[in-house]
Amino acid sequence: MAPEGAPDISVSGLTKRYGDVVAVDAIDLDIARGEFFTMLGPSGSGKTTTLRMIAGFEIPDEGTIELAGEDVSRLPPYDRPVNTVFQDYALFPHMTVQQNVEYGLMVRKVKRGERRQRAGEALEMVQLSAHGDRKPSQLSGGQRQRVALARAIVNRPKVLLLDEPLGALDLKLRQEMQIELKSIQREVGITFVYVTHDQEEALTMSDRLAVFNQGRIEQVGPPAHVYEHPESEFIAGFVGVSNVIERDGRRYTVRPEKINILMNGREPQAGAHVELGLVRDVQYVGPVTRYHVTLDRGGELQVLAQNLEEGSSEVLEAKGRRVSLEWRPEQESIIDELEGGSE
Amino acid sequence: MVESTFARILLRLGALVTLAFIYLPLFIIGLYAFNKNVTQAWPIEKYSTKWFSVAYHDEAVREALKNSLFAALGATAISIVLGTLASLAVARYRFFGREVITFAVILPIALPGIVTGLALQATIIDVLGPLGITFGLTTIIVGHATFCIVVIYNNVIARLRRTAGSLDEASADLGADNWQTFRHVMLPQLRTAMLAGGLLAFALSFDEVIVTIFTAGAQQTLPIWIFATLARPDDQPIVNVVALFVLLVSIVPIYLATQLAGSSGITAERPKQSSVIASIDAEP
Repeated sequence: MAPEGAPDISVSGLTKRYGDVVAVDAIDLDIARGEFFTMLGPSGSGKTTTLRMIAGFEIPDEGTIELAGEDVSRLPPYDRPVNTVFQDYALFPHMTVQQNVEYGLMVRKVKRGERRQRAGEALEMVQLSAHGDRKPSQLSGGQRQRVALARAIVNRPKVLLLDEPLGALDLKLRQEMQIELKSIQREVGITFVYVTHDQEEALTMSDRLAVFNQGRIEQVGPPAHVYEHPESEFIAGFVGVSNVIERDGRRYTVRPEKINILMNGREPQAGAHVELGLVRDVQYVGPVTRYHVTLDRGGELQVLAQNLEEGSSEVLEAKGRRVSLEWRPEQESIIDELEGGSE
Repeated sequence: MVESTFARILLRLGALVTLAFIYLPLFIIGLYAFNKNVTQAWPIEKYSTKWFSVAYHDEAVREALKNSLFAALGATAISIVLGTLASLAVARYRFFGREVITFAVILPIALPGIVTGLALQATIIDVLGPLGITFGLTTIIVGHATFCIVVIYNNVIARLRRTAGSLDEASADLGADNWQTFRHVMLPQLRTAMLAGGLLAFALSFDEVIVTIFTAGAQQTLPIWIFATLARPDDQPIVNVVALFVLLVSIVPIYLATQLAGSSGITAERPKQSSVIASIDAEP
């Protein structure tokens, strides 16, 4: 066993190549016990390959993976204390839901009575107690997803790996499952490693997230920190809207909802950074409106404003108008210092 | 597609004639089995089932039937094991020479039977003979297995291609070693495909003539017995009965195999094409 406080998963120098392509490029990562950790990135960024190496489906070319202090880099999947929820669920079609959930216990020779009971508890946790006798083909997509989850957590793994588990569900179901997954994770206290390309999912569910790009991790941190202080232009664009401008030798980003749009001659606040511009386009999105503003000093910014009192016709009239934008300097997140100088 | 009434009638007529051309002669052979006279003449004057009893009590026929059954069962058993293993290797692993293996497994059904037979005969005489294996049931079984393996292989690989690879991974992930994964996950997925392939292999072996001639030595299978007995006009009625029997024994497995492959059985999640078609397509 690892000493208290040691990371549950410790990855160092992890590299995987396919021919000339470097899928995962010398990644270092520590994931704490009980953490909900998300690996976020576009497809082909190496997040799924990293997950598959932790699970044992791929053998790394270089580097090590430690689970609770033990090097498992070269162990087969069945000797690792992790379980996976697959993107396509991978339920065994010839077995009932109950048999699917009991499978991990069955192959580990757990006694029938205990198997029953633990599978029953797991099915109860995902609210499928009444469906134990059904075949996977008789379930809806959301139900299959829950069975896959129950089948994994019934084994009480140290770490649960989830490979875009909600990718196949429709938006509403996905949002419900996000909340449910999070509450199940709190209940069982297992470390979750979650792979997704959906930034909203990553922001709402994670304790910490790592943003993958081209086989490397560009930034690791709590969602709010990564969102508000993106360290690269890629992250600024991938986690949220990029909104990057260059001023006084600095490239920085400002999140669209942090910007105030001033119309009808309203005065900016003292100490705020002010830019003048022309509203190029307006999108009315129900609760909010998105303005695309071309700035006089170069660049373009998106502004997100809540529709507190304005109706759609009012906000749409803003197109083509001249406006001032203001934001507080602390909302600026530096990406590049172009002429030396410190932040 | 829209055809005119005339074209439609012509098409149907064509189909009918084709089917008649295939099945009418078979039907007549079947009918002759009930002919009471020793000589064949059309129309049949008197019908009788007496030749069934004669054939049933014929020692040579019984011996040939026993050989045919053992040969078909043996060849099928070997083919199921080897064909399934080969398809698992090709479908699930990437290795050097994989394409060659695929080709080498499929090739024997296209090879001329007479060449296969000659080659096997030479091998049996020159290689197996000195090792103490001589012409007999064993050599028939090995000979038949060479072209039966591909039938299993084709059926199983078609099923494997439709089975998500993540099932093996899920099983391993849940703690099953390779054997447990095969037993609990792969085998149930492949069982009907293996059985369908096995039935086809059985039927192929049961009526095989050319390869059998070269590998049988003094042993006779039913088709060989028919072939040898054709020269004796007095035994014609028994030949007809045996022919009908061979026909039926060949039809039933094929029918069952089609049912198995077409049934929605195990992989009910996605619609699937018949895997039997895949193997029948490959036949010469």
